[in-house]
Amino acid sequence: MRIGGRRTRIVLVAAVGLIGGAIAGIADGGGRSGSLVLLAAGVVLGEMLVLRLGEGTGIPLSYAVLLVLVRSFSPMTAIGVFAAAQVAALLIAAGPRSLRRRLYGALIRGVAAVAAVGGYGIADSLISDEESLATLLIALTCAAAAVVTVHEVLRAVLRLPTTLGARKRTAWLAITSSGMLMAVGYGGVHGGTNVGIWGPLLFSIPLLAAWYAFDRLESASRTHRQTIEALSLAPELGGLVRDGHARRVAATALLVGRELDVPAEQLEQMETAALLHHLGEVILDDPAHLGAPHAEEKVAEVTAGILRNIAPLSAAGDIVAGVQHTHHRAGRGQVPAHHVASQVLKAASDFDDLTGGEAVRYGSAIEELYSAPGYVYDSRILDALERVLLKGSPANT
Amino acid sequence: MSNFPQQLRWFTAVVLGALAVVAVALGLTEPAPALLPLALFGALEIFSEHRAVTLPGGMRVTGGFMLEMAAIVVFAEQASLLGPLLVGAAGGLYLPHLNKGRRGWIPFNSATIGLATVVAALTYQGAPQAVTDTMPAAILWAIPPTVAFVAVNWLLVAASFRIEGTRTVREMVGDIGPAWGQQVPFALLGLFLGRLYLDVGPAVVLLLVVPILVARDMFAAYLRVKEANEATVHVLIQALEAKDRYTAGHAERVARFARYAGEEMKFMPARLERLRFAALMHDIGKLVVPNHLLNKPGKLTAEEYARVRAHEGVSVQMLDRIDFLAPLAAASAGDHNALDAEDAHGPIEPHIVAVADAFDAMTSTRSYRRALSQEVAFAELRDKSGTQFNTKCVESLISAIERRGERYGSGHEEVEHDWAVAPPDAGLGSAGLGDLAHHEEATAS
Repeated sequence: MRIGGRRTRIVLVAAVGLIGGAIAGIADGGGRSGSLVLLAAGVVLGEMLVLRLGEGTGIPLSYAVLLVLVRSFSPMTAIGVFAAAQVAALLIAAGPRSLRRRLYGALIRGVAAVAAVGGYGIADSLISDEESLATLLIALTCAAAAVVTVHEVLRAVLRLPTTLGARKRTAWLAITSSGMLMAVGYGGVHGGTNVGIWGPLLFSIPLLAAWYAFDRLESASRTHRQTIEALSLAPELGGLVRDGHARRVAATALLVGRELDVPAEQLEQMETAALLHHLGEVILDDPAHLGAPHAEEKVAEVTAGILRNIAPLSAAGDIVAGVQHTHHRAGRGQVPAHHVASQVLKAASDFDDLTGGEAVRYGSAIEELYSAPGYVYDSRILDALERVLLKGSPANT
Repeated sequence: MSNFPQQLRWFTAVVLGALAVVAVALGLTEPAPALLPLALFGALEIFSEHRAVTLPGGMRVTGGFMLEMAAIVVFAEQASLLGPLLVGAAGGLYLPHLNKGRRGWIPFNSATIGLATVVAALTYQGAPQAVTDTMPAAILWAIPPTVAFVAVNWLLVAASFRIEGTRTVREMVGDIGPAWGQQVPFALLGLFLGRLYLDVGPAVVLLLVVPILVARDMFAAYLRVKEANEATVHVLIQALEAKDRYTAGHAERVARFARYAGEEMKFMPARLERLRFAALMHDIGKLVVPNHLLNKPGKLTAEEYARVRAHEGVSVQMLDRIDFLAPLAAASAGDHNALDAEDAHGPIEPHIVAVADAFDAMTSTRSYRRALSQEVAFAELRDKSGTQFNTKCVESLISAIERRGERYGSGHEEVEHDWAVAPPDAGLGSAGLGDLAHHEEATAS
């Protein structure tokens, strides 16, 4: 069953958790039932609030609440409450929509909960009888490490989409450190705190702030990519270049750039440059301009001029402008930072002009590029292009 | 931040003097504050000032008050006011202020934050035992010190603006609410952090700092991407203006008129943002219209007209690529045939863009006619209300412009034109590009 929009469901779960927690707390008279109900609601909410990492992947905040359960309740209670909350989350259709993905997600969470309880228990029993903040933090770190390992390994085994990179590490850092803080806040050390359930509630604020920031970043990045893609369609929709040229050139250039270890930031600018490198053509759409000698130079100049005018895209503008320079320029004086990116873009664009995106022409096209005078293409870039082609078609990536 | 105004030198000296007197008095009467929390919170305070995030509205957000609140709680244990004072004063140590011309900000900020923190600490320490021992009451006790902090800080900053003469007290009153709202979550977090520090130990401070830093860094990255996307939209606008010199400023003006109407309809900020983007990009399909048609003086032939209208389909194709604009794509892009003026089911945004686009088209000079007066444009919009335009959108835009007392159209144009062939005076047309020629006339020619 799906209830309302995401926002409605979040408010509903929070309200049910708060009211249920209050009733259970009063009925239990000083026991921990009220807290358990609230923590269970926290797990359900944590399944709806995911630190989004792009490409449909993300890490749920529920793992932070898991650490609180693991720290302060018996293994059976912790696993039972976490599992029950997972079922509730599945029922109200939080998280990814496809049933397979949702079941896989629940499986991963279940195994992660068992691993967290195990990791915490083993560390706790090995360290010492006397609990201190240090021993508590070590045990919680073991539980967190177990969760991270199980989550990542199972995702890989089940062939679920996964992302790499700094953003994922950052997300795990935020979830595990918040979870540890919430756990310490709830249980204290030696029961030496009277903060109780208010600890996890309050210390979820920075995690919620992180969730909001991840959410905004992910939406904004997607919109940004799509805006550039929409713009890149203009020359082909106007019939000025072959269909799909910009996208294919961007894909090829990215693969070649990675092969040559171009830094990530420049890859991003190079992709933008590749997608927009023909934009000038729609501005100079007059046959008189486009048929004239040096028309390509003029197109690159106009495109680069517009991109350079706008601060965050000026590096992409430099890359487009650099396409007109031969790679030998590198031999004289200071090499501009964008030089390699420009040369990659030139090779990728000319390669696509020769093949039209058809794999059968790859062989002859690369031969043709190699046979051009030595000053036209940098042979290291052509070598990289050839290696990329051997691995698979850039058009399929 | 801007240079330090010379008028504030005496004021800063007085506030700094007051802070020094308080600090010396406290130093003589109180036991020395514990060193570890002083160093830890002081260092974090300085660090947090250097990692502030500036929101698009210009507001600077730091976690400073959370740390001051935590210090207030921690030092309350030894009944010290000097500790919070010193931690607060550390908040003024912002290295970029060491640059010439800005140095005055360091004593100014140190003195104002230090004094505000010490008053907040005094308020916190006034809590009865019963309040700090019971849980929900203890949380609520974060509020009185927050009120005290914001009040003292506001008074000092308002006094400085008064001396400088840059803002009136009336304007400053409007800032209290948002400032207070922003500080309360930080105050609650700081209070808990302080209690946990006392109960458990300093290590918990680092556990809290990590997610806050992550949130801060991701938010800063989001602001950068947002800026980059804004830039990309300006690539489009520049490309369009390079093709068609008569449309200089058109996209921005349509976005402005759309915002006026959206505000009049009480749209939420996220919805206004989407409306703004849809308005800025509504002409994206014009990129594929040949330049000579866009710049042709006078009327188009039927064939040319059809060619120009084809851009609307292209706009839809392109905007459809952008998830958050896709629901608006069909009609925002000017596909007026697909737009039923009084359709109550679909989104209203496309109707707003259509009205804003038509209003700007009528009140600007184009290659095919000169700008009309605002009165004629209003009358035309009202005339076509219910058929070509949505009535609510038309009335919203008109009342928004009238309430602002702004004037557009003939004699009030922002752009000076310099044309080879002067456009004719006549011709009414009102639907943006669709009015390049009236359809009947075009087919007749």
